[in-house]
Amino acid sequence: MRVEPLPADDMLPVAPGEEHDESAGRAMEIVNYLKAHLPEDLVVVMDAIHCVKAKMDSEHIYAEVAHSLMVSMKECRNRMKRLRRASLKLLHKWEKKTS
Amino acid sequence: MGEENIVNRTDVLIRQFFEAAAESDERFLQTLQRILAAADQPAVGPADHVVRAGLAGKSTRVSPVRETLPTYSATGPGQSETSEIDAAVCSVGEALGEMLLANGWTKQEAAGKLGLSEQVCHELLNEMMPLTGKTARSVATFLSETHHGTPAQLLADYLLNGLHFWELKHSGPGHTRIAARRKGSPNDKKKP
Repeated sequence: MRVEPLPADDMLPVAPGEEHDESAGRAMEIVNYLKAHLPEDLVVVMDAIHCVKAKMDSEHIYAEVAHSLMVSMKECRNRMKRLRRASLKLLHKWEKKTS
Repeated sequence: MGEENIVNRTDVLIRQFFEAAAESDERFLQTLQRILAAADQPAVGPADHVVRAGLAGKSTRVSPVRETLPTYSATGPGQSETSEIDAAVCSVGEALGEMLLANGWTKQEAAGKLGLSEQVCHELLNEMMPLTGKTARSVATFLSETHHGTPAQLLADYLLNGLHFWELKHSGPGHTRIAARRKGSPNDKKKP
């Protein structure tokens, strides 16, 4: 049986979870707020996490991030800890600002 | 209705992100990944920022978040080493500070809830006072009875560890060094 290749400009439906999310603007607002206020080295960590494939376990994410930043796993964990603590403070500020 | 579900889903994710930031690094890491992915979705309209790759069913979105970000070289600011202070383990003051942040308490509220005076709470936060057995016991007991979150557990552990160390230190001469060492360290080997 011959299978015809799909045309490049196919009109296939977007996969579930990929649909346009209007409230994504809020998530983007949080991310932008964090990136605007976090120290640069932590913004780099966020970018590195962004580039890692989703649904990996934490250890693999740490390994990928450490590799992309060319730092040790220990250093990567330290930065992650700093990122979480700094983000927590900023999230509280953001919440106060927007409420 | 479907739109409402999507809005709720993102709101739940944002709420989870707040909670994860107050919990563990692992959970925060995973939630952050999801938030970054959610923020990657186009906010203006589906046609914006979407570039068809020309392959069946596949599209590459250019993140509006990333578009605004500066790019870093391999030797950029991400390469600086974390200072020793940052790399140090969490102290009592830090743990208490996280607890305040996680619960949204002010110093006054925390002092009231933990059964401490505001002065003691302030000094604990700023690590200006030595940890006394009485303070450690009262705070740790209160936390383990009333709160079950990670920051509370962390603080209770630190307080109890601090108290344990203090007791060992004051139990007799020469005990401090033994207490400070971890089991199985190379220093535990007997001298020939």
